[in-house]
Amino acid sequence: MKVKYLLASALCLIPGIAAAAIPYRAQQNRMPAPTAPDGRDTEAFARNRRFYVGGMYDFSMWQSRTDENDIHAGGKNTSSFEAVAGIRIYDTFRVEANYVRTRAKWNGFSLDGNAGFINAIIDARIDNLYRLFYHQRLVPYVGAGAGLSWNKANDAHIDNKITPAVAAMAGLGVEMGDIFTVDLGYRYMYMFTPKFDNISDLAPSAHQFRIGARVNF
Amino acid sequence: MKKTPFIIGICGAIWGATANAAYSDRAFRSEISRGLDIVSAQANVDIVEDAAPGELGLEVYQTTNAIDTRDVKLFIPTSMYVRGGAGLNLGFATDKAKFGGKEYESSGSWTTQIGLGWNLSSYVRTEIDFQTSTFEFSDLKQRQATYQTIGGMLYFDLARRYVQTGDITRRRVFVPFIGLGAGFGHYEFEGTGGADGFVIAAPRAQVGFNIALTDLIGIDIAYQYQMMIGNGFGWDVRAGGVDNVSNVMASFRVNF
Repeated sequence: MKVKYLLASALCLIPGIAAAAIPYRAQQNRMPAPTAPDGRDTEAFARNRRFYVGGMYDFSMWQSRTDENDIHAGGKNTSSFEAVAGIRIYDTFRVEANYVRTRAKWNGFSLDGNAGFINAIIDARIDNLYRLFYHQRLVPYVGAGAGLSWNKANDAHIDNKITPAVAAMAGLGVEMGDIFTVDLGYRYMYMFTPKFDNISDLAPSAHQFRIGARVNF
Repeated sequence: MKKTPFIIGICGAIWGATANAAYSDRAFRSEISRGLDIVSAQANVDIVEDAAPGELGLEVYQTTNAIDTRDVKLFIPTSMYVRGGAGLNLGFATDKAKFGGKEYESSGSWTTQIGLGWNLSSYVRTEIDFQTSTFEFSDLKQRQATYQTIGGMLYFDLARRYVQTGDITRRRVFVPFIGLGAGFGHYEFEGTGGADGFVIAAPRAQVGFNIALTDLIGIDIAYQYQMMIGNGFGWDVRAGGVDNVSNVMASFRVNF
């Protein structure tokens, strides 16, 4: 008989167990906004390679000039070098300090200069959507710069040892991986006149063709 | 016991192979930068018509008219571009410079151009540029003129550079365009009595065409007309008036 009572008691428990609800609790996990860079933003490359240094060879075609007294200075072609150290602010924008050794030459006299420029450069680096589908090895650029040149004249006298200078440039960066970039460029350089004694108002200007390399780090 | 050396040898070979197994750092970086989903999709996409195994698979899954992915390209409109190029002066379409009471035609004169532009829409662009020009004249040696100008242009492409129709984007490879704008700067006819000073190129107009070599890179060939407002065109000339200058320009336009 005790078995019957036990069985009945057990059966009485069944509804209670069956009705026991599983306590669900709605929980919302607040996820922080994805602020971490995903490699496709405007600083995807700049973040990894923020700085760069480089050096270039310059072939300069100095422009001729005939002054008010019809004194003619025929421009010559010269070679020189330059160095750059820059910071990449965005993938498409960088600012660089640029040292340029200038060797301006005309028939009969010349001007050696140590010029310092600050250049602002726009890189035509493809944007984040394209980056999913294309590798970019060729990165053209355009830019402009301004600075000062410390001058020394040979076979002539100048009044201004220090003159302002401006430049506009365009070129093509050939990226051999993230670190190494070959740079082929053109620059138009214009120096304000140092006031030569033998020809008035000769402002040295040149079409320069540049080849060099940049190391990104 | 005689097999022991062979076993040791095989083990050695396996050991060596596993010791040299390395994941290419370059490949890894490339996969991450391109996106692993893209890399895997390209590697695994099935472009061959086939049937899933089994009767059910044959009935349910059947790949037909599979697209050859080599023919599919993705075009993404760009927002900006850079330009670099040069131009040749058209002497017959440029005013003759006056010197000593005679007129001399421009000959062998040329221009360099550097520009930065914005793609405002699929057929409108705007641009700022820097141009420097050197003018030389036939039968007038050791005389030249130089111009340096900064200009702004608004371009209208006469056919949309790209047309979006649903999921398909068509990109044109030949796009004629016209442009209108103005420039300003400094110029000088060198030598005694040469006109010089501030110059305004207004209007500056272009008509030309673009040949798109890729999605991003194209060549522009254009005729450029400038009406120069300055202090004359030549030596010992009356200050004022306008002078017409025509160039044919060739430049690379690279979008980004």
